[in-house]
Amino acid sequence: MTAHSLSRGALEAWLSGLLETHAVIAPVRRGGQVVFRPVARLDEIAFDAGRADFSAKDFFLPSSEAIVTWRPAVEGVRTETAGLGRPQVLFGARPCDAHALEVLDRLLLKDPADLFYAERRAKTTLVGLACVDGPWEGCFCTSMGGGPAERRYLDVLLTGIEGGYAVDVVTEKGQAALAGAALTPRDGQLSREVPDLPRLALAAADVWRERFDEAYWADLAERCIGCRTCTYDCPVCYCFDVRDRRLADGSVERLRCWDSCQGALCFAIAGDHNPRPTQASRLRQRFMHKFLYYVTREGAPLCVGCGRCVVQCPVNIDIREVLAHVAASGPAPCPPGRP
Amino acid sequence: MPDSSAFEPRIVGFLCNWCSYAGADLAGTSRTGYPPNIRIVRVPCSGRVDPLLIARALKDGADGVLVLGCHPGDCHYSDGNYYARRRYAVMRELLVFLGVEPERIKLDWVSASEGARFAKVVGEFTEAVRRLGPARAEPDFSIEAPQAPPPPPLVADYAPLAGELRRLARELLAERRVEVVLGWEKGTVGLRPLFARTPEQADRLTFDADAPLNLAGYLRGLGGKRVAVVVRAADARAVNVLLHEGQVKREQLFLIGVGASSGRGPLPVTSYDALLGTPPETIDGGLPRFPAVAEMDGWPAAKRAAFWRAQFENCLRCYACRQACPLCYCQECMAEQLDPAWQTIAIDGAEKALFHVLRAFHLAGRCTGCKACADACPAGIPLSLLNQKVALEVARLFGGYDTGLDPEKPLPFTTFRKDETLTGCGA
Repeated sequence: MTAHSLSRGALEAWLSGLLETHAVIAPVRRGGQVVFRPVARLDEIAFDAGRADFSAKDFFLPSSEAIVTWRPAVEGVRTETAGLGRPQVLFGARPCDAHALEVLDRLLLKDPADLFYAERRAKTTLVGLACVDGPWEGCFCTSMGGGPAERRYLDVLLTGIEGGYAVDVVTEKGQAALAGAALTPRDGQLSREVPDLPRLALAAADVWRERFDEAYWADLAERCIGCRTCTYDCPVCYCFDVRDRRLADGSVERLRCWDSCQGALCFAIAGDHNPRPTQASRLRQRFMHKFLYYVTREGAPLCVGCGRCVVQCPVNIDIREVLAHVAASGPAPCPPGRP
Repeated sequence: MPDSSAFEPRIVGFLCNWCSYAGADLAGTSRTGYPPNIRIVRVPCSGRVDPLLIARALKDGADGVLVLGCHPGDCHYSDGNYYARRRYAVMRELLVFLGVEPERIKLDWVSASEGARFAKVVGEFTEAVRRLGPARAEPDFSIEAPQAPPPPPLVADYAPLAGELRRLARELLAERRVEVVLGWEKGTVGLRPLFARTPEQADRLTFDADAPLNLAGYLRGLGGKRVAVVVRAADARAVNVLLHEGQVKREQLFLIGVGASSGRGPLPVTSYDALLGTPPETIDGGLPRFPAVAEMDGWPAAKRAAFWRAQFENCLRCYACRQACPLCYCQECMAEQLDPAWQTIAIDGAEKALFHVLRAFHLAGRCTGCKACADACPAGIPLSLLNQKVALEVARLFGGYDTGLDPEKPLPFTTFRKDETLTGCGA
């Protein structure tokens, strides 16, 4: 498509228009943090905040969501299923945030699709910002198949330039969302100075399998405190729990909420059995899920290299060090009797 | 049709079976009128009322919570109401700090013969709550936490201290006096905990002002091993609480104290096995000084409520605060327990607030102010303010602040004084 640009003023005018018709989600400052939140006014948006401290996962897989509500009615019980309502625009997502959705789509949109995720996905337009202002501590997106200016998974990619943004319209959905924008044609090549990022090799599935019983996991887990920070700030960790709760007015909600493999009770099952009883087994599960099981089943790692877990972990368990350790160990020697 | 526009408060009353419930009964049989707003939960004793039930009732939509028990001295189980009084007093202060208006919660005494008094207490309480209206608070993200001045550095220069630490650790491991030295090493982002098991690993040890968390949290997991652990003042006091609660054994620990304390002193010097840096100060035993808490105590309740709502909105319920705390060691946390289910799994404002009440309350008289919770919080919530508030009230109500100093002294909720008068507790 043709090259366009959008002045800062035109961008703001366009976003103001979107606020009338769409739920607009954008990075805002909350306390010392930058988080994605629905905004009511443009001045809430932290345009120059860099990578948000937490991903925008909440707007596709909400941390807490009533998937069914049963309400007492005059005759019997009324069943309600939540819907999204207005279409939404995710503004200020980074290429890795969009890549995360592509990774999740592989699992959640295939038959049987997750209807709630699918609806949010279909009703959301992704307007991203190229990371020409990066990188940030922990970033390693290029090792996971993404890039600081990767446009593929976005609907619109904006790149900060003098006085405004260069606009890449990637999809028809993006084209439609930009209908009211005062785009100006732009000539010439856009030089995107994107940061150099560390290149980490992803070990082959067999290598991960061979490493399953290594003492490494117990050593690594020794300092792990078993919180859920890494999984809750991860843009692609998708585990959830479902339980019912009764409300004060007599209704009952079926809640779907985030859950985490790092919780001690996450895998507990009937009969008082816990197949992953140690923090080492749970920490290993996190990495095996990301780099072995998901790769085998869905053809991509369950990680986009956003680096948030690297920064947020209270005890600095660094996913990049884990990747390096497994890759550096090299292919394990063949067990005797096998080719 | 009733006029639904008038506010009718929903009051939950926890009534002890022997006195107050009988008092309510007497009010009824004597045809003494009292507001029908109260929903009574009969309990064996006011001592049975876990203060978290108060918080939970408010969370689930109660406009006010009333706890009624036997008059002090009249408890049918001897002492239940004395314990209840202590716990209630701390919970009340914590809830008020979170922005609950004090009029919404009350502990009082009603005997079996006081039917008229029961009606009066319920009537006055209901009227007070009715005047307040329903509890409504919107988060206000513009309110900032009061900033306490940063603590002075533990020592002037960390490099010599780190060197001394490495020498000592090498020695301890080489001579097999301990199996592990628990300290910090340089990580990819800041410092991180290190479990040094060989003299070579001990060379990776380092220390500075930003050493995160509190290594005492790892001691229970190393049970049975001889462990040397690097502790600052508050960390050392947490070790003392663990000793007091029978969670670790002193003979298996080698305590390496680092630096002086910033204001409030740690253990007596002799309690350390080695002390690096300048000697610690001594404790004055008076009320702790928490300027940020004092400032917030002066805010209107609505401002505190709006502040905490905003703070808790960022909470992920990731439990990093709980996991980082050396004294949060329950096998199964009430926040995750299934039977009885104290909390739902919802990651919403109400459940997050209840979790933080639960966490702060369970640390009453136990928290030593190490701030590992606030360190670990990925959302940057100033959680230690809650712990400081509770510590301050425990000191104010029960006489002095010396958590983790005297292993012989009973924990504040395991004891009572018959003659104590506590704010908001009974007539």
